[in-house]
Amino acid sequence: MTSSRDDKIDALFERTLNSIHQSPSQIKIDSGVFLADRSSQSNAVPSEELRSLLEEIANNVIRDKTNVTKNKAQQETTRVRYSAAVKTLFLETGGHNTDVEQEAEQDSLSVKPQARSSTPKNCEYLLTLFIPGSKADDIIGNLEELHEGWVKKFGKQRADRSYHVQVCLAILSHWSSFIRHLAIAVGGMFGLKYLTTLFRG
Amino acid sequence: MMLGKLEEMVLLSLLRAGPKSPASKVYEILTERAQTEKSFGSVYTTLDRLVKKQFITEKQVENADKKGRTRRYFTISAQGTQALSESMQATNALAYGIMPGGPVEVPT
Repeated sequence: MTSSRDDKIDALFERTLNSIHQSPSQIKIDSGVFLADRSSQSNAVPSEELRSLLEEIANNVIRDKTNVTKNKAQQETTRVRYSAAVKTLFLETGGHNTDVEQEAEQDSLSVKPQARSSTPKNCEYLLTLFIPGSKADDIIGNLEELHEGWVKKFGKQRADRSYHVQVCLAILSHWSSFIRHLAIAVGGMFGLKYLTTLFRG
Repeated sequence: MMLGKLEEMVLLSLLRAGPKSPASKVYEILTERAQTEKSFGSVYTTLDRLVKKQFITEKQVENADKKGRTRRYFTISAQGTQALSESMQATNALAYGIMPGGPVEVPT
């Protein structure tokens, strides 16, 4: 009897692992299949064991999954997605409000501030300081629009980094022609001096 | 007047973005479609240069966004379209017959 129940837990564990490696929506489908299996059999898996099993998945599998990427925002998103999927599986298989659910709720709460795309303010000052007039305003507006897209695509941290880099490059690009002309003038002056000494000598 | 490579790419992106496009839209199209890592600053400077060459017309709109910023919207001019067409024809004529996957017909 015990071994049969263990087999069932193992099977469930394996199935859940597989579904986690597929997608959160697949977990929901698998949980439905599991529910149907469970109702057709008399010796159902006890809720307590299921709970510990799911906690194990939440602790180990999700951690492995999130560690694939170094990007913290992506890690958070992956963790929330899979925690929510595990929570759904647990509730659908007859569980009650547990740590898994609370953790998922806390995760989704903690992710909300990251979804906001507020651009780094110090960059605006830099642009206004180094680029004159309405051009600075326009560049800031454009970069803010791009920043929103970068946050969705790469996460807040990388988006902020890209924003900083683009601001520095925009300032450099703006002054590049002036710097080039200045360098040519200075180089020409020294070159002329050198040529003069060369011909005199 | 001949166009540089970046100028050509920016004009094509602007053509794709449509009239009255902000620089961010041009930049997005350029980086996504051309798969190149250009900085926004260089694209913006190129747009500025093309405005000076009169290949692009710009329209400045005050209080264009929520924060009351002045924004610039760019549109390719007839002169720009012609310059782009000439530049593309010259490139195609040179590439014809020697580049694998190059143009199929010699431009007239």
